[in-house]
Amino acid sequence: MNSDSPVPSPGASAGLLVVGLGGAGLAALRRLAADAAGLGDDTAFIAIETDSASLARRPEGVEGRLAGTTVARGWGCGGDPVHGAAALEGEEAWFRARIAGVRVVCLLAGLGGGTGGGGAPFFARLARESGAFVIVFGLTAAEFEGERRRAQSLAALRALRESAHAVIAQPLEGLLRLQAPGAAFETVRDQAEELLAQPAGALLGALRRTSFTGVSPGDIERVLRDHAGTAVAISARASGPGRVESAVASASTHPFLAADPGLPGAAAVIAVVSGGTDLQMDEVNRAAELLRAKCPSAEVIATAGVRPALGDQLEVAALVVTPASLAPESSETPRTGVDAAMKFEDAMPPGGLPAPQPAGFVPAPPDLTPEQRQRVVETQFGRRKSKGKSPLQTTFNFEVVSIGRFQQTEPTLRRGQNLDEPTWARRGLTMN
Amino acid sequence: MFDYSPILVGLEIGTSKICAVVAELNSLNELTVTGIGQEPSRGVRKGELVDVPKTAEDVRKALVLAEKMANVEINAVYLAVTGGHVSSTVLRGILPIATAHRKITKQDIEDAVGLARQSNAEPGFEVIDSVRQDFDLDDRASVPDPTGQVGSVLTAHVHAIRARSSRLETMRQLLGEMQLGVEKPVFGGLAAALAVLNPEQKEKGVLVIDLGAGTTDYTLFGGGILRHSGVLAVGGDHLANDLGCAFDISLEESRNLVRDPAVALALRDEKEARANIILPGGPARPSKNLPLEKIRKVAILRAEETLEIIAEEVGQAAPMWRPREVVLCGGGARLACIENLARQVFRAPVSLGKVRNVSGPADVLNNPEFAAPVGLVRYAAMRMAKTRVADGGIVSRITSVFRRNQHRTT
Repeated sequence: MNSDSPVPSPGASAGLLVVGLGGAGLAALRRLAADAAGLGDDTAFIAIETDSASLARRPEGVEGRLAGTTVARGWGCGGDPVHGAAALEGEEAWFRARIAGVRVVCLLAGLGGGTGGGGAPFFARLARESGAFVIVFGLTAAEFEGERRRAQSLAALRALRESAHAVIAQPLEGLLRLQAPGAAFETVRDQAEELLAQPAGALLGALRRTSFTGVSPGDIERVLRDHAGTAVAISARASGPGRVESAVASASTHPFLAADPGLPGAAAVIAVVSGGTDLQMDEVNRAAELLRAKCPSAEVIATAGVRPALGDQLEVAALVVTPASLAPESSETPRTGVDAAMKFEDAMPPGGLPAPQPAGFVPAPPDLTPEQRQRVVETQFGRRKSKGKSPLQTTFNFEVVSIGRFQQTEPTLRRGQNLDEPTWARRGLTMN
Repeated sequence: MFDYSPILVGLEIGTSKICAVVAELNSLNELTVTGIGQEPSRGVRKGELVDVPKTAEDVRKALVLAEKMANVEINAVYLAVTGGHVSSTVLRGILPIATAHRKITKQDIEDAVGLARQSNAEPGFEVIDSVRQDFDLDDRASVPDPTGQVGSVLTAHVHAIRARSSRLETMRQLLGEMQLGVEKPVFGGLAAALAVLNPEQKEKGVLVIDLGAGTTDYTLFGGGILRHSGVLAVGGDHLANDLGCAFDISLEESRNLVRDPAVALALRDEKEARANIILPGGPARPSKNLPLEKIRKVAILRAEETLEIIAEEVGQAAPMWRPREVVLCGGGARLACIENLARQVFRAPVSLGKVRNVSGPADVLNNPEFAAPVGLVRYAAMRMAKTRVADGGIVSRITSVFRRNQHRTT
């Protein structure tokens, strides 16, 4: 399987390297690669899998690497992140050579699985060590996938926050909660892939633009650092008259923002407004104004770009940063997702939401009675007031990594790592 | 009447154990280990004292055991020094040769080396060992011995091993309170290398890694000269701690786990890591069923990381001297997977260090754990042999007798 991808020379580098890790990552990569026009010519795509059958389904033009031929034997790693990490560690030399010289590395991965959850922290560390800006779009496991995968995805998230520059956690649970009964599985799956790929494409496109209309890696890193929060990437598209209002409204009720505190509780928003060649400056201004109105206390950075492939559609994509203290996944124990979702569900109209929409369509805000709307608003604004300003601490989620016997000693530090902490914990392995 | 053999004592205050070695040096400069005392260490972490009273008690017990075995009274020791505060550097001494076309003399070399040794002025640090490397003579670099050559500027390179003065003073005071003198502090890694290496290995290029419980000391030799040395404040305790954190077991259980034959097999061969190992429970918790595969993973990650860091450090500090051989010693050298890992990381033959040119109990000499304490008495013997040569032999013997009497009266 790897015969078609020999060890690359260090010079074989790209400005942007998009890596799909594992089954979910590969699915998102497939969609992103299909709409790669806005990412620049020097963008390369790599699919990394431990399952040879899954890897064989990668689209044309995407480089493939089968990892862990000894550990996983081409059968996948059975959802075990230890195997996933071990599989990728075996390919370290190849990865290092492939990453060398790349400016931005984007990882797409499902974090509840073995290859994505175990391999992403390892790959992110390698990329960071090579000097690249590392941005990760990770899909966290939903409740139906079981407690084990939920726990694995949270552990992978924590590990990624130590190795990557920007970690964007896309909660699959949010999408599933908003599905009406009877939603077709394939439709939901397509939506999930689209919801991971679409905002990733928009944000990466903005990262590649060097003019004042772009976003620099430093902007993203600074926003995440200053607001010390968890990040979610969303996007919505609309066309026709009033497309700005529609797109912003759809974005603000995006499934990934379904849990508390949603857009009103955001600490920072990096918005990317894109459209075809007919995109007007007024529309960009209007979109930025509407977003600011949705989250008046947030720092909003708005940028814009033209992507002819969008045709007459206008896209509003945003990186929404929520303070760690308000973020739904900030608890130490794996969340079942029920608590946060129940509050929103209580406010749902009887019968749930309308029938599922085609892939890529983001549902309109639900019709709420004035009382329900008031309850949601009070809860969100009440929380923000009680919390006051965003914390200044730069870590996302506080996690105690035991250093056991070495608590009282001077730490052994090397390149920003405390070597007294277990190696397995620093490398993102899970032991449960 | 001058058939007196001086008593040399090496003391290593380690993280897992305190070890005192007593040896005799006869008139033919042959060294024999006559006593050894060991005591588990309770007040040391990562090679540094964290509990002085407990350490004092442990040292006293180890010395008493060694004294009883060797039937001597110990008054002064050569003390092994390690820890994160120990570092090495290359000092340079530049000596202008004033007279044109004059040949370099032995005295010029001594002067240049003296200037290099004086150039260390970092406050708060003390040079515990300084070893002469090679010389630059005008535009010629790496001249092993410039004696008899003509040049105008002679630069001496001296490899200096430094330790924080306050830590050394704490050790000295601890021993001083027991009426024990410190003959000389010696870098533990250098002592281990002296015990296990022969001149041929030093000439070819060899890396000695002393894998202790709290630290890993390393020394690189090439062309017969000490090229680099260092300490990584990571040792076997870190591996045990990693296992403890991974499986929520105590440090003692982790240490026992590493010594378990089933774990040793799993560490040596991946195929043996398919089963589970049952850790007996106790009143506080039920028994645990631990997968060997995960134990192997945790242990290998730590051991590999440690070796990789050393490989990187050595590669950066002495890029011209890639080790042709790696010698492992210290308690960590007994880890089942360590030889294979070292072979992969350094891409060189790997062997376990065995003490050479010293007589004594076979279980001490064949055990890589004792390389550093035995190396201390070897260091002392080499120093004494030099003194004997310098003093013409007979004077030294008389001095030794006086020194011995002086120790016994204080």
